[in-house]
Amino acid sequence: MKKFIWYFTLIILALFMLVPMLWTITTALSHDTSTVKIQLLPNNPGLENFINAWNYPSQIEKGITMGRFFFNSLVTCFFITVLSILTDSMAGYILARKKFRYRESIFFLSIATMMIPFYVTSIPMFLIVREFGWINKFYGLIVPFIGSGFGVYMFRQAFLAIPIQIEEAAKLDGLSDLGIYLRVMLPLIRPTIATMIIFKAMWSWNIFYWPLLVTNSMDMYTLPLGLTLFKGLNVTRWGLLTAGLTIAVVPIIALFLIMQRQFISGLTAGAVKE
Amino acid sequence: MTYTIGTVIPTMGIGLFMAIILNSKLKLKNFFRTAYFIPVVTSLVAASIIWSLILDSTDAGLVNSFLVQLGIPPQAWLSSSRWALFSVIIVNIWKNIGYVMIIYIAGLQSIPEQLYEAITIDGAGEWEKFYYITLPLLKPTTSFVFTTSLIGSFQVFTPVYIMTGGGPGYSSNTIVNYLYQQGFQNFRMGYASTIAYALFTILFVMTILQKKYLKAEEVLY
Repeated sequence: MKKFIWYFTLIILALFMLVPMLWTITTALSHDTSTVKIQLLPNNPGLENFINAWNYPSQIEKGITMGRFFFNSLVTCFFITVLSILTDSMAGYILARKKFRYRESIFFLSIATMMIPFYVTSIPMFLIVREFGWINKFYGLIVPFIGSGFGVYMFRQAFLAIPIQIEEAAKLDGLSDLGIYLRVMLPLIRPTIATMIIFKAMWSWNIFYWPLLVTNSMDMYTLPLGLTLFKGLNVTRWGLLTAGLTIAVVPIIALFLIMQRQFISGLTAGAVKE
Repeated sequence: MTYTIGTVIPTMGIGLFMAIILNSKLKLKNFFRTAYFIPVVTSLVAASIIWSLILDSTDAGLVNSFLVQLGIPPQAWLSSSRWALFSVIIVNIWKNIGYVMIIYIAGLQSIPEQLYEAITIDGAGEWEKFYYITLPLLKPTTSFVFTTSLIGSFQVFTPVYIMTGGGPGYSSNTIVNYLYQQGFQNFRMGYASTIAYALFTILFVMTILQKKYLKAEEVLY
């Protein structure tokens, strides 16, 4: 009996969590209609909505498809992830291992930035980016995020956990500082790197507020911004709308289903004390 | 403020409840865990748009067409001051439950099994187990989840911007959306900076309080 109640609750909640997604996908697969139905399977299944949705932005500005938004998002996401992991891990390494004046203060300052919400710094940041002429440029989308206090902190912790003897041995073998960092230390913290890649990639893929500020021409829109175009649509074109959403959402969910473990550790990084 | 309370408490409550159920030895628990976590990986923009379709104010929306079938008049979920905030809250609950649940599961797994064995020998039932062991030992987790959700809920922007635009009137506006409106729509940067400072002060005080509280609450077992 208790089991039954548990399952019942679980299923009700699972419906609450999943129905919005499932409904979006089935409506997208159905023939475009003006009335909406609650349906489990698509009627008249077809892919026409997806083609229409993919090309929809070109109705507003010629020559732009959702492909453009995907491309912009991919470029932004790739560079933010790679560059920030590079800077964060280098800074983390130096702060963990090298002894120099003001080391503690620098570390403190860098983690103190975590306490300031991004929205607070967005105003001065916006003014700076505008001063540089980076509005509607990839620089404006990427450069503000190539380092973060959180990343520095995570990498420093990871490096601190590695025994110093390994490094001393590498030094005796004649490796330079850069050599130690690249060939000894980085391979040893591979799990942290994987976690941080997921964390950064997810974050930069979904970021909405900042691109909203620094882009205003459609060919620089990232995917989240591009999606807002669909918001202005006449709501009776359900098929088109839901197809656009499906295109944006399904790749990430598919990726999540394949790499669940890494995703969860990436998204909960820093939350759970080990 | 209503927004903060309206999101944080239900999310934590449901999240904890599900974590407890899904930490047991049920079949299919991995399926449910995955299902509940899917909204977390969905982009907030997409989630907001999906929900604004579902809650669409004409009788074409999913919820309204359902209500009409039940004989209830359709509600203007997003455009009435009565429901707008509620709609935004629903989206955030939907999106965050999975995250809270995963963190609680991690917390639950760090509770030693022996404690439960001991209290069972002392003749305690399920409810006592929960009240005397689970809840006190989860305190650090709860306090973490509570402060991070609290801080997060003060910074909500995307769903408000997309679903209601803060309206009607100011009925569903939040600090960050107000900051955006003043700074980047009305171009009153100075005013927006003041809002930013206010936000920072609130969050700073909350963080400090959390640090103090956490220190006092280290549990020994």
